[in-house]
Amino acid sequence: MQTNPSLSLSSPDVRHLTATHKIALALVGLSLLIIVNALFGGAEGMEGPMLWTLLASLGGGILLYAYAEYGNKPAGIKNNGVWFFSETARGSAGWVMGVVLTLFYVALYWFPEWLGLRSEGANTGLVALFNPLSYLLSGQAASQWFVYGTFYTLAILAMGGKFIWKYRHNTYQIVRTSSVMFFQLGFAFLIPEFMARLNSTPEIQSLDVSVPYYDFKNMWPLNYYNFDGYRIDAMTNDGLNALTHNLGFIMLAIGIGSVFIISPILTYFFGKRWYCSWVCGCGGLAETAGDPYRHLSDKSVKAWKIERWLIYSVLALAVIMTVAVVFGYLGERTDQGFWITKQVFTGIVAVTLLGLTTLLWTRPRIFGSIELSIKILASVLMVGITGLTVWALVSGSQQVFFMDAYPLRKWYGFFIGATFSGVVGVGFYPLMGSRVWCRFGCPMAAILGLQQRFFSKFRITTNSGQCISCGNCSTYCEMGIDVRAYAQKGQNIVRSSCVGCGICAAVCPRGVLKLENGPDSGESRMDSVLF
Amino acid sequence: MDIEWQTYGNLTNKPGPGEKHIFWEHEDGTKLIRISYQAESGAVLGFNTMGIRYRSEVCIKWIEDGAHIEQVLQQLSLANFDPEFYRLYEQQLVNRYNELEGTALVLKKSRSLKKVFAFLGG
Repeated sequence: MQTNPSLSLSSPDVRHLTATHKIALALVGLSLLIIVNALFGGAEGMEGPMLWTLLASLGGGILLYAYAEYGNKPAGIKNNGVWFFSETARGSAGWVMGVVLTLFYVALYWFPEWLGLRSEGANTGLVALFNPLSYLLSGQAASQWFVYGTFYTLAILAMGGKFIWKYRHNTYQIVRTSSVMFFQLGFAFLIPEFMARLNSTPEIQSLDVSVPYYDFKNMWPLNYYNFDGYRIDAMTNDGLNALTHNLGFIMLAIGIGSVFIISPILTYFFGKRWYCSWVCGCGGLAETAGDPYRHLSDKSVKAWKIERWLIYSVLALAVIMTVAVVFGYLGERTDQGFWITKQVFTGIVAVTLLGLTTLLWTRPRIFGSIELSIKILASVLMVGITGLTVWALVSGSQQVFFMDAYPLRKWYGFFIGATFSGVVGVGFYPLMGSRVWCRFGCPMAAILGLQQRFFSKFRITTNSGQCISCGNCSTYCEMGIDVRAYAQKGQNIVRSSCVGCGICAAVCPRGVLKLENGPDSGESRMDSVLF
Repeated sequence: MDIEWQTYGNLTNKPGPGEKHIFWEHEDGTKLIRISYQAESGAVLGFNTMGIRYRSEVCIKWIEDGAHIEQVLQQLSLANFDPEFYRLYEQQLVNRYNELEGTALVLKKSRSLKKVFAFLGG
C-alpha cells in the first residue's frame, strides 16, 4: 500500500476497505436486493425464507462490518476519517442514503400502496413479505407500520451492537445503549404486538371491543395523539369486559402520570437524558443508527437560535392542538357522566399555565436569565391559551380557538408528526446529523429541556483548566452544542438541548468532561468556576 | 493514541530524597495510580494517573494544603472523575498501602458531587 508522506496526524488518505468489510457490505447488499425484489412482487409464495434471509443478512452484515471496523483494534475512540468518508461526510454515498431514507418515509406516510398495502384483499409486495413475522408475534397480517417497526427495531439492535463495539471501553455507553435497545425491543416492538394478539382471542372478539395499541414509554407530547378522542374512547371503553377496561384505564393513567409525575421527578434528578438517550425510540435510533452522522450537526450560533424558536413553537402548537382536541372531545360527552368534565379540564389547563406564568415572573433566581421579550411572549401565549379555553367554556362553544379541533390535529400530524419527525428527522440523518428532530422539533424534548435547564441537578462539569481546545467534544455533539466553548472557560455545561449521551466526555482526550448530578440547581450550576 | 495520562503536582520517575511513592497498576497494563509524598511529614506532593481521570480541584487542594497521605488515601474517591458506571480502583491502591505500611486505612467510597463540594468548600 502506498504511504502518504504527510506528517498530518489525521491522514487524508482514502480509507481502504478490508475483505471483511466487503463481505459485510455484500450481505447488506443482499438484503437490499431482497427488499427491491419484494417491492416488485418477487417474494410472493416464498415470504418465509426471503424474510428470514433479509433480516439475517441485514443484521449480520451490520455486525460483521462493525467487527471489521473495531474487532481487531484496541478499545478506544475510532473516528478516523469520518470527514473523508463519502458516507459520513455528505459525499455522494451520504446523499444517496439520504434520498433513499427520505423516499422510504414518503412512501410510508403518504403512499403505503407503493410498499404493497392494499385497501381490499391481501397485501402484496414488501408489506406481505413481513407476514410470517407478524403472524408469529401478533397473529395478524403485517401492515406498513409493522414493516417500519421491524426495520426500526433491527436498526437499533444491529447498529446498537456496532455502537457498543465501538465504545466498548466506556461502561456508561454500554449501559445506556443496552437500555435503549431494551426499550425499543420490549416496549415499542414486542409488547404492543403481544397486546394486539389479545385482540384475536375469542373472549375479546366476542365483545366487539379491542385492546388499543400502546407503547408504554411513549409520552405526550411526543405521541401527540395519545389524548385524541378515539384513543381515550379505546382506553376507557366500558365494553363488557373488565380486562380491556382496566388495561385501558391503566394506559390512560400511565399516559397522564408519565408527563406530570414520573418525568419531572426523573428529570430533576438525572436531567433529560433519562428519557432522550436512555428510553426514547427516536433518540434510540439517533444514538445507534445515527451515530456515524453525529458530527454533521450544525454548531453555529445561528443554528442555536433557529433551534430555540423552532422547538418552542412546536411545543406551543402541540399544547394548543391537544387542548383543542381534548376540549372538543369532552364537550361532546357532557351528558354521558364522563369522569373528567369540560369544567375540570379547563381548571387543569388554567392552573398549569397560569401557575407557570406566575413562577416565570416571581422566581428571578431561576428565570432571571431569560430575556424580557421572551418572558412576555411566553406569558402572552400561556395566558392567551387559558383565556380562550375559559371563554369557550363560558360561551358554551366546542371550539377553543374559534376553529374545529380536527383540522388543527390533522395539520399538526402532517407537518410535525410525519414530515418533521419522520421525513426530515430521519431521512436527513446523512445530511444534517442524527438529532435534527430531537433538536429542532420534538415538543417532548422542549419540555424536558426546560426542566433540565431550570429544575434539575444535571450538568456536565469541566475539570478546570485542562482543555487543550482540540474540539472533539463540539465536533461529536449530536445536538450541536459548542461544548469546547464552555470547557475552555472552565464552565459547567447546562443546556436545555443536551441529551446526556456522554459522547463529549468519551471523546475528550484529556478527561475534562463528566456528566454529573449534583446538589445545586438553577443559576449556580452555570458559574464559570464553582470552587 | 488511546492513552489518557494526568499529572498534578510534582512527580519524578523515581522517588527523590526524602520522598516516597505509593503505586498501583492494573494487570492489563492500561491503568495506574501513583501518588508521591514526603516520607517524614506525609504531605502529598503529586498525582499521576493513566486510564483513570482525577478531578484537578481536589488534587490541587490536597497538594496546596499539604494533606497527609493517609488522609488523602481514605478520601481518594473524591478525586475520581471517571464517567458513571466505571469500575473504580481506589480500593486497590489503599489495599496496597495497607499491605506495605501495616496500616488499616478504610476508603470512603462516595464520590458524589455533593461530597466534593463539601470538601472543597470546607
